[in-house]
Amino acid sequence: MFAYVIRRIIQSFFVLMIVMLFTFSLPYFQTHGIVAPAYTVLGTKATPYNVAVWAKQHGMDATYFHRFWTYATQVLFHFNLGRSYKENSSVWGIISLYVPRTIWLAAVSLILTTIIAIPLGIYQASRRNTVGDYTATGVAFVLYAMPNFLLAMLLLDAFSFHWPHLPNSPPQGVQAWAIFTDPVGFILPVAALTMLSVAGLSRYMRGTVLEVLVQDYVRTAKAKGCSGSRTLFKHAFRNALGPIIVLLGLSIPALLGGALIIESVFNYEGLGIQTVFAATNLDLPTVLGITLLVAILTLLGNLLADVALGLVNPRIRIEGNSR
Amino acid sequence: MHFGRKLRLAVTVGLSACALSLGLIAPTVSGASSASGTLTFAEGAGANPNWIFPFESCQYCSVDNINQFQDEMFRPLYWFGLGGSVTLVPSLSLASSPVYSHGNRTVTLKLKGWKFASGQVVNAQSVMFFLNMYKALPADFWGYNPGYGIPDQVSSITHTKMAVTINFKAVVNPLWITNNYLDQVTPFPDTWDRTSSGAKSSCATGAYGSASNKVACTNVYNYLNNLSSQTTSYTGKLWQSGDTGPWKLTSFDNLGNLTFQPNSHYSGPVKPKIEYVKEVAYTTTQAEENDLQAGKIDLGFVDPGVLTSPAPAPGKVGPNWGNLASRYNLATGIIWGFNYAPFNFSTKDPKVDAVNQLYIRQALQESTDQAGIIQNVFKGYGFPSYTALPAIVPASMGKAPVNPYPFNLTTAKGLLTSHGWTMTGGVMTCTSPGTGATQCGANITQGYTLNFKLVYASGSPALTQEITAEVADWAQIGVQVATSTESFNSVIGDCSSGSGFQLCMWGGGWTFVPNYFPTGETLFAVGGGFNVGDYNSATMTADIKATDFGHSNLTAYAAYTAQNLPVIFQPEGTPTGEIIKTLHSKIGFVGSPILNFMPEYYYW
Amino acid sequence: MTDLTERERERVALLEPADTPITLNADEQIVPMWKQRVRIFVHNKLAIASVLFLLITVGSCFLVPLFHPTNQTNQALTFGLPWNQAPSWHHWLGTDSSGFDELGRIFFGGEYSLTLGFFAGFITIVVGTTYGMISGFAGGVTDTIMMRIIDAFLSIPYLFLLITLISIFNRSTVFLICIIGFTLWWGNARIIRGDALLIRNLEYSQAATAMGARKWHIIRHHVFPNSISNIVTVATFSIADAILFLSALGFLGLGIQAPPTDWGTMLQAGTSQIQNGFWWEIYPLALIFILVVVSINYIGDALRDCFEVRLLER
Repeated sequence: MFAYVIRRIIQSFFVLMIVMLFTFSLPYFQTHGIVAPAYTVLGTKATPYNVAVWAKQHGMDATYFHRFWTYATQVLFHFNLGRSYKENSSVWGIISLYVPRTIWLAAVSLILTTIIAIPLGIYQASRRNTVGDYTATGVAFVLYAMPNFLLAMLLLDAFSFHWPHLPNSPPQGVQAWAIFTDPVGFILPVAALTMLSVAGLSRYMRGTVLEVLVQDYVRTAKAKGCSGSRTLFKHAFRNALGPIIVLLGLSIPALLGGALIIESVFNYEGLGIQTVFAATNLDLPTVLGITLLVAILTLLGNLLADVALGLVNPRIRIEGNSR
Repeated sequence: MHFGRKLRLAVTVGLSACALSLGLIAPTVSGASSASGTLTFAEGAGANPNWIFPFESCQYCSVDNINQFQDEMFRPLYWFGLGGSVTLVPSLSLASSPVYSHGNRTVTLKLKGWKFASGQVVNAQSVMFFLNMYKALPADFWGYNPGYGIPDQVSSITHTKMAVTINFKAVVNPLWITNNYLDQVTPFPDTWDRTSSGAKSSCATGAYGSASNKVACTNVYNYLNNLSSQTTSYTGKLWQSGDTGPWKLTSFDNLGNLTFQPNSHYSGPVKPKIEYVKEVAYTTTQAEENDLQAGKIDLGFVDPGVLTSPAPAPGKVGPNWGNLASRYNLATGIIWGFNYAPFNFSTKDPKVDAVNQLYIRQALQESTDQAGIIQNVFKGYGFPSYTALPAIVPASMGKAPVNPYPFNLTTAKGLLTSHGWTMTGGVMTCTSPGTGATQCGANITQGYTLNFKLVYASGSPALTQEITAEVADWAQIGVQVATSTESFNSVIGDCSSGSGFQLCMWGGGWTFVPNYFPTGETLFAVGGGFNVGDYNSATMTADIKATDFGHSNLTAYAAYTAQNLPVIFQPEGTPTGEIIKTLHSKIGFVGSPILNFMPEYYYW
Repeated sequence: MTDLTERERERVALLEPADTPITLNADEQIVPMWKQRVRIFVHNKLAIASVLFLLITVGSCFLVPLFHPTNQTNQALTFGLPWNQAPSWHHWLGTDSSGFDELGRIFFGGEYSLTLGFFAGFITIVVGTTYGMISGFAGGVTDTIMMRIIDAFLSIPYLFLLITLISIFNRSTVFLICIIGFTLWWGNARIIRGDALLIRNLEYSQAATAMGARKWHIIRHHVFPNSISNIVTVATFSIADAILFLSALGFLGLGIQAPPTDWGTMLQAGTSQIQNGFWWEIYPLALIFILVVVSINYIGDALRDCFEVRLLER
């Protein structure tokens, strides 16, 4: 197990290097080349002279390899992601400001998703082809087919304006953990995010439980006289949990991507919005930093998921590459 | 002048938070005597204050940083604009009006003796502090214009205890220097003259322009600049000791939400009547509109696109948005700028020979339906532009010409056909090359077609509607314009690089803030800092020099700009602000053309 | 076999020839496999309804404008006409916030959304399949490196990646199709590679290698046919996902740029008028959009069902 984790970490490191190489190299393909952000930053002061000065200040006169080497060593050995071109902050400052805000939002909705999706999947699988199953499948299909922003807007319009019972946004300038201290403002954003991920997950959940149900050992268990619910929970649940855990691990990027839209509609300044601002402003150090961070989170999520998988289902020979 | 651009996009798009800077003109002060209540002000979407040090580079020279944040605390030497006006307001300035002498080669500034929050009197040394730093590090201040004004044309500066005398190398136009350079001078307190929290320095006291002073000022700049990068320091003693304005900052978070409270040391005539002024941040305009409907903010803005009844006339207010009408009043005003799409005169432009022909530029301008765009896209909240001046200028600055090229598709098409162009398959094609009066013009060959490319900023429905409408009209006269979109900032980059397109449009045009005298040395002079189209005209350059260094007003310059079309003039959107009905103002509510935000004039 | 997950190993077991005769009824064995599949699909009434709905929608989008053209590109012509007009005999679904006929615009935007979805799905399949097969078939170090590259891209949120790419490059429609296609194929490649690996490890495949069959032969005759089910299913889902991603970009103002439009951009414009109560600018399109994506997904599910070996037993 330990050796496996070590191996996975080493592999993840290489994955990270690929992410870094890719995002670092992208700006070289811009219309104005690597100095393109100078126009964003300097605006109408972007005279050729000023652009050249800016480029020199930011070390852009160095060669590609030199710049990549500098950046990589800086990140790897000093955990220094550089300074934003646009914002008055280091990239770390931006990350430490916005990540907790988004993480709490995403975490709460991830927990709610799990609580709803797993039982729902089991229910659907066990009551296959009943009205309940069809309804749940239908709702999940519709939610999955809805653009994120449309769902968020409709929820907002319905519960904040048509039947004005819920606040249209969390209060501005609250702390990252306000979701626990002032939950009312977060009901709509969390509900929207949860509905989106439940829609995505429950389809897999039902399928997975179904697959487990038709497998031999469940049949055997039934044959041995185990009751229906006992079979379901002892065997099916346990076996179906594995793929779901893997899926949850993989869903981190999707969750953050979804959070982008939710943050925008409900006016909650988080990582997603910040990434969009950074990308459209060509604030490349920020984009690079956030991308690396999300990649680390995802890889970590995958690793944890695989380890959890091993714990849930000891039959898996964990020394193999689980994918 | 520089951050104007960013702001103007906001305005055209209707995101004008800025809009709300309401000014006033009537002097009566009624209402509460002591400060009370809270005023909540909506910042523009994605435009949060994030920089406190007024000596800043253009990275931070935005409306949200200067007009809505620093100006509340660090008052410039000369204050411009009250309500709908754009002129110097002597009563709010830290010095009495500048006195020019020696045939306009010398200016003397006499300080009034107002006080910083630290108790120090704003004296000549406070002004010298700024001027010394500017001299030492001109490129680090956004207002620097190489070769022009302060500091490049200053020959020497002398000062007594309460007066500063600046000598220029040449004769200057007083209006130009006062409105475009002296207004950017912010006096700094002695408490800022340090290189660490303990070590005092000598930037304020050193000799102007000396090598040792340059070193001292650079070190002070580095310290303050670094301190300003730590937002936790903003409400601290050091920054607040330099407060000469009516407000002091009492809370600030990195997300752009902040609170002002009255500065009890403010020496000016108008003391705040409101206890808390809160500025709150928004991710999108729609999120801000939601908060307006929920009644969470007192001063906000709407996108004209949601308004269902248009304004009766440019500059007039129409019925408010139905969802807000019961709680809020709609306010508008003019913007101290104009809107345009530069032509590309660069030699890198493959169609430069067509762009160089005035009659072709004229045909495009005459087929630009500004009135239609204002009526339909801006819902009446806009002014047509036809010269490089704001919609309304004070008589002292000059007179706008009569629109030489009104919208008329027939005349526009006639211009082309009478110059040897024939419509072939929907595109005007040159069938009579040559330089005669009825021929296409220099370097235009037989079969040359009027296929142009235009790059514009995406993401704003209003700008998209504007451009697609114009492209449709241009197609009517046989000029086929292919469009491509880029982000706002990339468009500026492309405009400056000058290849591959004939027209570009970022949507924001130009705002003369805080260069309140609307001259064109940056825009249209040869070598001008933001002459993005590489426009090159000796007449224009001479006209501009006459406004900066002579005594002439802007009339000749404006007439030539309107006539020679260095750009296609575009309609200019006006702000659409929302003011809660229970709020009062000593000067009425009208959008400040130069984007001032002066909550000290408001009371509940 | 060490590279297989438990689930994949189970599927190997299910695919192994020994299992198949037991699970199929005697009479059904005579029916060719593809006919069985068609029969399963046809018996799924919802799937048929989905196909019909899609055909009608695609047909309407491309054909109705030919018979009843409406102005959807000339903004200047809308000046002087009422904008945001409620449905009337003249405009069945009213006019939108730019003054265009809403019903005509749904067809107009649909042409772009559906075409883009189709092409992006196509790219996903071609690139993903090729990549996955190369990786799975090559195995060893090549496979590991290729899969780590996939891991890298899977760990960046699609939407972030799309926005960054669009900001850095340009926003032409062709470029949009390419990048949506290219950001969707990673997952597909992973699935196909799993299949390739699976089949490569099957006994008959190994036997073929032993017999000296060349690698391309193995790919063509063994790997590819067995992967078709996955490819077809993934293709359908990719189209739906591409349409959804495009709509998210439309919300951020990065969708297809004017004068053309797409459903996401239209929905965004519609939702910005939601507080004005202009229902015709949002609900009809929202309904069609959701039904289209649901249909595509449902067809994908139905296809998966009829390719699923285990379901053939019933």
